Amino acid sequence: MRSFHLTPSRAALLSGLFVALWGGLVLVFPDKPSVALWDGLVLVLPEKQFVAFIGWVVLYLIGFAWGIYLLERAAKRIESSAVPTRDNARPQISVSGEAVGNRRGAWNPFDPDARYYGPALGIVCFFVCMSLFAAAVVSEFPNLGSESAVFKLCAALQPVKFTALILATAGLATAVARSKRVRQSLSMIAAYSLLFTLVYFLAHRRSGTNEEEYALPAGGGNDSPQAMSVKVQKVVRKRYVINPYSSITFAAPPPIENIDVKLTDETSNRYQVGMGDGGLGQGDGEGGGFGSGKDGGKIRFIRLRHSDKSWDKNFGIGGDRNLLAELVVRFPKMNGKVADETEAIDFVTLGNYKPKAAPPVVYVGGAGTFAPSATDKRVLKQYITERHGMILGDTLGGGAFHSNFIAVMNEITGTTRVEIPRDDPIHKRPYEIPQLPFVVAHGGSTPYGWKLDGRWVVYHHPGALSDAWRDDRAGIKKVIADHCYLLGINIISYAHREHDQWRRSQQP
Amino acid sequence: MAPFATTLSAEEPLPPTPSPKKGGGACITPPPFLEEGVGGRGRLFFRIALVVLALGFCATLAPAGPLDEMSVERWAKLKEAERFQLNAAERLFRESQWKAAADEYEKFLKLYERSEGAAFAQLKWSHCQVNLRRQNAAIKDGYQSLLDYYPESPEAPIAGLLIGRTYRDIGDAKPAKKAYAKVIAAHPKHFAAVMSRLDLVELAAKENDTETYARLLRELTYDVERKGATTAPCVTASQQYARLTFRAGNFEEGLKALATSCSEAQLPHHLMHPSWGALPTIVGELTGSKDEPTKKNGEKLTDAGAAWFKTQVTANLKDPKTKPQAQAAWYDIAEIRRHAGQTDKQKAVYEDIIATLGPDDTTLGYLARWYKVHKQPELARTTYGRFKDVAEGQGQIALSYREETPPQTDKAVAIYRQLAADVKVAPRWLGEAAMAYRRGGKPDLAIAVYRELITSDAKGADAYAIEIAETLYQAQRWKECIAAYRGTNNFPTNYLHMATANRRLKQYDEAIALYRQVIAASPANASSALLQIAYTQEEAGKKEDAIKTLKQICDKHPKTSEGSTAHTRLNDVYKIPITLGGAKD
Repeated sequence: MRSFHLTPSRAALLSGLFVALWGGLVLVFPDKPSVALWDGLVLVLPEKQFVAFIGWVVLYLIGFAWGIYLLERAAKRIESSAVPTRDNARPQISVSGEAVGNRRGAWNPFDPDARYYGPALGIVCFFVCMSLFAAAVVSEFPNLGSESAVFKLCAALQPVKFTALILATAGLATAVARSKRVRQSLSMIAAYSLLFTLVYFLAHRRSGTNEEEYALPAGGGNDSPQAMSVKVQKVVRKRYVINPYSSITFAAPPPIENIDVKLTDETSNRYQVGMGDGGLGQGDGEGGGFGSGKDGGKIRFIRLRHSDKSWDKNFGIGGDRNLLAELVVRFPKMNGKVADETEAIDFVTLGNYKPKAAPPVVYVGGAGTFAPSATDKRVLKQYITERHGMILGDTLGGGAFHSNFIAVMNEITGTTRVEIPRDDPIHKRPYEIPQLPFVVAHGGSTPYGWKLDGRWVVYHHPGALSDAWRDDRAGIKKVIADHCYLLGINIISYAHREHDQWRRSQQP
Repeated sequence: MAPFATTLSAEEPLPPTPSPKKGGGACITPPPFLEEGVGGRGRLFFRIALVVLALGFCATLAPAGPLDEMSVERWAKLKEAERFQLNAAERLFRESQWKAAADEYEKFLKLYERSEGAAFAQLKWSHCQVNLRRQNAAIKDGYQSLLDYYPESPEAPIAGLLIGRTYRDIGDAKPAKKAYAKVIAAHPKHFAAVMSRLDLVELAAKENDTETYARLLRELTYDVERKGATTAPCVTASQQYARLTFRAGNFEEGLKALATSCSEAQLPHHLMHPSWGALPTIVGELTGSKDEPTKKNGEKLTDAGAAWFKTQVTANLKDPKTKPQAQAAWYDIAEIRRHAGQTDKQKAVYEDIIATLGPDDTTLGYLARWYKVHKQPELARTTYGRFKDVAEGQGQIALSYREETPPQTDKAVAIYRQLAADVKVAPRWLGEAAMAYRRGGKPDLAIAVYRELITSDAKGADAYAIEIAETLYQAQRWKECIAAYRGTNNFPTNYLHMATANRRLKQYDEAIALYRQVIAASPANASSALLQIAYTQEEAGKKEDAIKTLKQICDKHPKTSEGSTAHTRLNDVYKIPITLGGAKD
């Protein structure tokens, strides 16, 4: 049996095959983890992002192997060409693969004797990268002057913090290494890692700009109170028994204006000038939607990914997706203007939204903890103050999430929570919710909010609101689960209306 | 917060809502003799006596201020039918039946729109809306309507103030400030204007507007005329201003501010009071700071405070009648030094007192405590030994033996036994001896002492029986403690402890039976007992039953912390999402 030899051409072929396979898998796998049945077997399919990430790791390792191989080959070739050809010269003994020589170094990076493979480059690299790392760490302490330009510059280094630390370590190792080969290898590893990181970021950079956009649906809905129940009153009409043979003739049946419809207040939604023709929203466009909206824009439900393990409880199919479905059911004119799936984003993505097109509301759920870093808190603060966003907090368990969330919101808003009145517009439009519905009172039974400039920037539900949105509605009574949906719709509506007004006020 | 809280402080936590149930509303009850035109003289006197008693009771309980009461003179102006209707509403208000009370006030307004009590009814209707958490309705349909329809009524300035306060409570700072400014401009000398200023102080503190904060407090302290109802908020403001200036290291200004609210003789007490001048606390905060300038401010404040108290000592020592005041001022100096971390100077003060006035038990007690704090128990005991009240001194010596590590129980008990020789005070010292045995890990000896007490002090037999059971419980002698608890009457603690003991003995069914008895007899403890049943079932390996019980808690007690625990446990431990429950606030 012939043994398999990994020749360079075969390795190149395998590398190419891997890249092709990886690309294919990324296309095939779903956006979210899912379960599939295959020939009686239950397969848990990981999400696309996970597959992509694993692929990048393997690609880095393949590139690393190729780099080492090519570097070794080139170095050997250069060293062998520099060996004296005279017969009477002393033999050169290789130590750890390194040929002893006293030739002057060149500028070729593949030559271990290159001039710049001395300790100086490593020391410079160490100090520069360590400074970058230290500056990024300093920016995590906002009490050192978060408003200063230097502090903002330091904060901008956060994404490259750990890369700088790795490079600093490599630089230090290069500086202290005594062998030229080791210095060359470490330098090349550092350069390769840097290059790979650059490629990675370029590949993940969106075309044109890395800013996300949340477009509101265009249209002209209204938020007039929706009837929770319609009181039907029987209208007693006078019946005329007409004798066709009678000498009396009727000129006409009773005019329609004389019929009193007797509608109650709850159903008397009146048209106002400029109001659109229905659906959720506000503005003077057609159908449901918002005046500042764009064609193709949709109402989306976005949740924030954070360190608590329960951040994704009730996420997606069978969970908060039901809220979006309920929105369409209750406002049929919003069909096509509401996203099909709910989404999850991290703090960095939230910070990357266009300043005037950030999501109107972001959901933050958790049971155990809520511990965003200083940078994350800055993102949240910027989101609610500068980008007019709103946070919907939901305590999903009896852990420390509730108190953590309150403390973080106090910090980022710079104010303290207050009880949200029962007759606040957020509880009245489009649905009247006279009492707060909840599944279990993890954090009491009163909704608290944080208000800035007359606007709710945080709504904190203390009792597992999203549990009621699940298919099983956590086993609670249907009427309470229905009210939980209505509350969710009210909060979405409030946030979108506020954001729409703000967007319109920002337009030139 | 309800709008009728009368005092507020920017630095202290807001006082709890003075519930009208506790008497706030009771104070405004009209004298019943006004309700009936004619009646028997005896009955009239009886009723007057009842009213006087009720008013006296109110005075002790209720902080009802001018924000929610109507004067007796105005009550007298009401017609009989009006009084009847308003009384009906007031009764419901006192019983916290906000919805029904609001309906009754509304009825009054519809029937007697031009009555003397109409503005008052409008005000109280608005209070009901606030309590129903319908603050927007309270502002727009209540307080504002009062201003529109009854602008000349005595309630109008109050309504203006409460508009601001309600806006503040729902987080709308801007309209709140606007409303306060209106009240201050329209009724500058009224109580409502003073309260508005005090509320603005709170808003300034919240917004870190130190300049406005200090300016308003200064105005309230020095400029506002203190008369009747305006006195209390000005006093509060002067105390806040004093604390503010102390924090800046300015003792003299703070003293001056406090002096506006009390007599010279009361000044030391006001300075030292933790909620008024709070000098020791502030000294501790400043000197404990890591910031060097702040620390220096603290030291400056300490020295200034101590120097002022020293002048009090010198002045009071001249007259033998004021010697106790001099001694009190000395103790205050020591307290300030203690908070500043200047313990040597603190000790020097005690020694100074003893040298000047001779040893007395109070000063010796302070000195001995100083020795104890500084780990010199022998010197502390020697000092206690100098007490004129020998029994008290010996008791303290015994206590110091108990406090040592490890506790010297036998020495302590020997002293207690000696003290118990006096039959009159024997129960106290024997009780201490038993406690010393318990802390020293000698439960049998403690129980023996309690048994001795049961025979010698029959009056306290029940309490001693409980102590015996508690001793056994703490010693984890479960079987004996169950038997001991059976003879006690401190339900439900005894049942809960018996249940715990049964669980430790793995007698799960008995434990559950006991918890069920607690549920049946004490509804207040039902949810916690149910949760304990679930835990017991888990310990017994009956997971299905535990799940059922946890679901039962979620279903029946969704508003309690036990409901939350059960929900989380079902989610996290059993991975069960369907937990039942659901409720409305």
